[in-house]
Amino acid sequence: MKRERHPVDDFFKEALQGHQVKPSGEGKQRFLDEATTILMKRRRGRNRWIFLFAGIVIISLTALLVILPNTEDHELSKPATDTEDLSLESTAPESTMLTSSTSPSGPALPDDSPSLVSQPSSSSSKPKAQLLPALSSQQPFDDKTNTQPATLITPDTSSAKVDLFVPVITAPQDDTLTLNIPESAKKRMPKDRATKKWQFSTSLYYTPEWMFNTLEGEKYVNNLGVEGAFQFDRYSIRTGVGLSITKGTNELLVEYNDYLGSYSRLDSMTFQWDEKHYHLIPTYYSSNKDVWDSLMKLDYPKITKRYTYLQIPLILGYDIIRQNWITFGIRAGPILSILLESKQISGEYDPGKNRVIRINQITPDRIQTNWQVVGGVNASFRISPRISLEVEPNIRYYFNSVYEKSDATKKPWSAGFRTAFTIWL
Amino acid sequence: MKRMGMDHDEQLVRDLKRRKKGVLEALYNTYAPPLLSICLRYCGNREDAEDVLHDGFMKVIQHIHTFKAQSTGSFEGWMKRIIVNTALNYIRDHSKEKRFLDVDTMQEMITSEEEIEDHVRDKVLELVGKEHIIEMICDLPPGYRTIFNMFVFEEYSHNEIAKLLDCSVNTSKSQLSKARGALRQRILELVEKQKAI
Repeated sequence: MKRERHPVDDFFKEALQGHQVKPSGEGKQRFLDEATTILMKRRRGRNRWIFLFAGIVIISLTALLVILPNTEDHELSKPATDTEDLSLESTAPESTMLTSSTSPSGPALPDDSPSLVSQPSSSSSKPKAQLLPALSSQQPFDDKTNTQPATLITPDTSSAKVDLFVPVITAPQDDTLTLNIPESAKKRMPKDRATKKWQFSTSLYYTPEWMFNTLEGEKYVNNLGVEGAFQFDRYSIRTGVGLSITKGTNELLVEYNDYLGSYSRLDSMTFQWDEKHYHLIPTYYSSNKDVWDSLMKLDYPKITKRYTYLQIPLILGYDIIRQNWITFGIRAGPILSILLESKQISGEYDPGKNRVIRINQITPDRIQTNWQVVGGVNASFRISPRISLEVEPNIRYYFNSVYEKSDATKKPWSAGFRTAFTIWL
Repeated sequence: MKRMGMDHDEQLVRDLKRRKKGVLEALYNTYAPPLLSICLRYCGNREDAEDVLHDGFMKVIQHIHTFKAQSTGSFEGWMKRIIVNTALNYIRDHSKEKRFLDVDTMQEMITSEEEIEDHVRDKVLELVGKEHIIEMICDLPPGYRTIFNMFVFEEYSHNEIAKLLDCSVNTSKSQLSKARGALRQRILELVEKQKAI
C-alpha cells in the first residue's frame, strides 16, 4: 500500500532531519550514576564466581606442584616393572609388595641395588599361586629366566629398616624368601592400584556449574548423578546418568490497556403506575461495566522456570601422576543433555484489572537437546582401599545454544567443580 | 539522527554487554542528543523529555542482553523503538487532558490539505531555526502531536497507529489532518510576520 505524502510532513521531516538536543549535565550524571550501579551489581556477581573458580584452580595446581617433586623421586627410585611385579609377591600371608611405592616414608633405593630382592622374570603377570611354589620351594630356578636364585642384600637389611617401614627379608636355609611387614604398616597400605591393570568403580557426583554467555547473564546450574568408570592402567572411561537442574528467567512483553474504573450502565427501565394511577414509578435495570484506557501500554515482566535435563557423559581420562593415596589426571569428553522438564516456579503474570491485549515471549524457549564438551583436571584422594573422593575443576563448552533460537545468543560456556564419592569394585 | 557506523554500534553493544568502563558515557554522548530530540517531539517540554530519555536509557541498559543485530535490526533503531514506547507510556501516565479530539469527516480532512508552496517552505526554513520548528510540534495538543510524530517521523501506518493507540483508523487520520492543519497555520503566520517586518 502506497504511503500518502503530504507537504507539511515533508517540510517537518526535512527540517528536523538530524536534529539533536543537547541534554543537560544533570540528566547525564543521573543516568551515569544509576546505570553504573546496575552494571556494577552485575559485574560484582560475575567476578565472585570467577574468583572462586580461579581460587580452586590455583589450589589444585599448587597441590599438584607440591606432590610432583615427590613423585619424580619416587619414579626414579622405582625398579623395573617386571622385577617390581615379581617382588610384590611373597610366600607368607602377611607378606606384601616390596616396592618403594608401598613405603612412602621409606628411603629411596639406590640404582645399583634396585631392590632388596633381585628376581628377574619374564612372566610378570604370573599368578600368585604359581609364583608361590617357585619362591617357597627348594626347586631350582629356571636356568633361562632365573640365572641365579633370589639374592639377599644382607648389609642393608638391618633392623633399622624395619623401623623405617622397609620389610625385612629373611632368607632361611631352604632359600625361601619371607617379607616381614610390621602390623601397623600393613594397616596403612591400601590395595595398590598399580598392581592391578584394570578396575571398575562407581561414583556419586555433584557438580556446581556457573554458566556464562546466556541471555539471562550468568546462571548457576546443579548437576548430580551416578557414574561408572572402567580404568585400564592409567586410562579410564567414565559414563553414567545424571540430572542437571537450573532456573531461568523468561522475559515477556505484555501489551495492555490500563484499567480506569467501572460504571453502572443503564440497560433498561420500566414504568408502572402507582396504585392511584397518579404517578409513574420507574424501575431501572443496570449492569456494572469496566472501563479501560484506549492507549496500549507495554510491560516487561519476568517469569521463572526450572529446567531439568538428563545428562549422559562419556568422559575419557588419563592419570598423569599415580600414588597410592592420590592420583592426578586429566579428563575430557562429550556430554549429551536432554531436556526432561520445564516447570514454571514463579506465579503467572498478574495484570490486575488491566486488560491484556497480547503477551509475547522475548526470551526464547530452551532447546530440547544439546551437546557439550567438558575438560578438566581430576584429583582423586583414596581414603580407604575401596573408597576415594574426587575433585575435578572443569570447563565446559556448549556446542549449540541452550535456546531454541540459535541466533539469540552465542554459545555458552561454563566453569564447574565436580566432586564425587567413588567406590572401587 | 546522525548515522553512526555499524562497527561503532557493534563495538558499543559488545562493550555494553561486557560492561566495560566508560561505555555508558560513550553511549550517552553518542545517542542522547538525537534521542532527546525524539523525546521532546513527543513530550512537548524539555523536563518531561529528559525524564523519558532517562527511563528509555535505563531500559536499554537493562535489556541490552536481548539485543541481537541479526534479529532486532540496528542498535540505533532498537533504541529508538524503546524511546518511542517509553514516550508513549509516559504521555499516557502524565496526560490528564483528553488525548483525541472528535472524529472528523473525511471531507473536512481533504479541505484542510492545502499545499505549502516550495518558496514558502524555503523561506520558513531560512527564517526560523530548527528549535522553532520543533517548538511548533511541541505546541500541538498531545493527541495531534503523538499521531503526527508516529506517522511522519516513525513512519507508522494509520493501521499500526490505530492498533498501538487502540483507536480507530479514522481517528488517527483525523488527528493527523488536524495536526497538519495547525502546523500549516503556524507556518503561514510565521511567514506573514516576517513579511510585515
